[in-house]
Amino acid sequence: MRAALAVTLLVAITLIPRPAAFAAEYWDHETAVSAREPVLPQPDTTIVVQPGITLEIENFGGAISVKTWDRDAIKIAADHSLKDRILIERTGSALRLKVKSRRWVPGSIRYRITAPRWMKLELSGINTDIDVEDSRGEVRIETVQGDVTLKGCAGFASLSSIQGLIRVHGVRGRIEASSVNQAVHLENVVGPIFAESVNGGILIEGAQSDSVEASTVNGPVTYEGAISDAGFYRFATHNGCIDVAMPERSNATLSLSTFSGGIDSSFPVTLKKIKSKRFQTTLGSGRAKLELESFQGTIFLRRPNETRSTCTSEDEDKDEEHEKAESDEDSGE
Amino acid sequence: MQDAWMNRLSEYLDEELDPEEHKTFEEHLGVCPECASTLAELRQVRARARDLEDAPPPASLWTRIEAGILARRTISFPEGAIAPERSVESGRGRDRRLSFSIPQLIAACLAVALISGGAVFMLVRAPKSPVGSLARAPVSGAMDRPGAPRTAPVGEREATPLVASESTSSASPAANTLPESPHEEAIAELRKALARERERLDPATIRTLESNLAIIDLAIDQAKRALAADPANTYVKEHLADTMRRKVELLQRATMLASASNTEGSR
Repeated sequence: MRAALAVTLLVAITLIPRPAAFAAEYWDHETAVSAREPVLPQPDTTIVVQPGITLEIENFGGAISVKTWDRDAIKIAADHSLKDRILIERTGSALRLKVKSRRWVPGSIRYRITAPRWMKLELSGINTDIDVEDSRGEVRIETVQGDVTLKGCAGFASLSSIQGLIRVHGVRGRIEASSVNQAVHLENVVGPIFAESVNGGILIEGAQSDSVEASTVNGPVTYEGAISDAGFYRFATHNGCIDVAMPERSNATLSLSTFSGGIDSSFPVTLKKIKSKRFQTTLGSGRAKLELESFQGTIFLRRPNETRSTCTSEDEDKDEEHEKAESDEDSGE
Repeated sequence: MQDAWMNRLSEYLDEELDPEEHKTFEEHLGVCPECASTLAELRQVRARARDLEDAPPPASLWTRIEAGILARRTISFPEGAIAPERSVESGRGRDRRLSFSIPQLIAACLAVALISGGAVFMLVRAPKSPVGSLARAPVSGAMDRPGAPRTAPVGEREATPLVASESTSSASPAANTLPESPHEEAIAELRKALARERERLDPATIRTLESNLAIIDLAIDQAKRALAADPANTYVKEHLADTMRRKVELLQRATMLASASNTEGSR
């Protein structure tokens, strides 16, 4: 018992944050993730942190997974190669985790973090999947080749990936989500939303927001959520459809624009032509503003309980018809 | 005799009187022709001032201002006093440091923003002769839901190199007839910067960025063709500007990524 107490005290003294910046190296006995290198069990390290501290992690490859708890302490666990060492740097306002590698290319680290719920998180990576659960602090995530997942959080979140999917579920607060080559999927978000992609679709389900902007270049944009009377909603794509589910009895002014696409509604609307291929329609009092734009795709309006549009382009229809015709000819021969 | 309200005419005009004073003053106007007439004159002055056009300053004005600034910079020292290490004038060109006040910096930022905005406005307003019909883009179409099979993106079929010049990436005749915009200048600069840092990026990242830039280029090209066919289409103008902004942002992001890789290994 005394020995355990002494060891605990020793560990605590070693880990007490010092006023000046310090760098500490842990894990001389790390866990490897490469099959060619030995795998050792990885003990967890827990550090007491003062409220207001930001957790910053930069990771080359692997994953960062952050869960939260109600304690003012951060538990750090990681799986990695023996050739990599994790450095914990502490400055006045941040606790920073970095990797020191004994090889040219940084290794793959799989972080498993349990952080205080209030903690601000700044997580970045290259070939890194990043997920955060149940945080109440500000979250900033940036990765290059990896997916980003945010679940059950509250507070501002900025999420971006070049080649990775962005998934957000059950989050309350302002969300800024951006992917370049993949989709953005937001589900049950309460708060302002800004979502964009270049080559991926944007799907927003169950949103409760009075400010939503979602745009992409090559992909569809789907919105199923509340239309607040005082809200502003903008959905835009170049090559894809816009699919908006909204109650017929909404109070909204819809502005619909396209160049070579079409407009389709499952409920009766009266389109007033403003300019060439720019239309407007008003539902109820028209208080909410909706701007729907697709350069060469169809803009669909439907009731919330109706099935989503397939967003199949006319070209694809033609291709399918062409293929069908060819196959018919082949079978005929 | 001048009454107390005479000094408060401007406050009335600027609507700075509280509601009670406002009411009292208006009652006073009904019984005081002097105040009423002065108020009418003030209103006329204000209307004329509003109608005045902003005249450009005479060319000689800056010469005079500059001369005044230079005259103030020349510092004279009394005889016998310790000479300074260098006068303001002697330091020019050797160790000169530019400094700006915050209002000057704000003014400079506003000027840059106005010039850029104006140029974009000119771009989107410029009427063009119709050039052919719009070629539809190859459509990937598939909803990018998690787990859904992805079709080949447009860019993967027509990838342009990250370092390609703008003239090679926007090859359509319609595109070439449109004026250069600040976006295009920024794009050219960013491409150059990216070309210098390209090796720092991971090949897979480069491929992703190139294919996505190609997608944006195709969208820009189509928007330019559409604008050429329908120069009055405000939606297409806005869409073109928005797509170009998106390209600038992607290039900025790629450049920052490459720069950040200096210390962090290949991205």
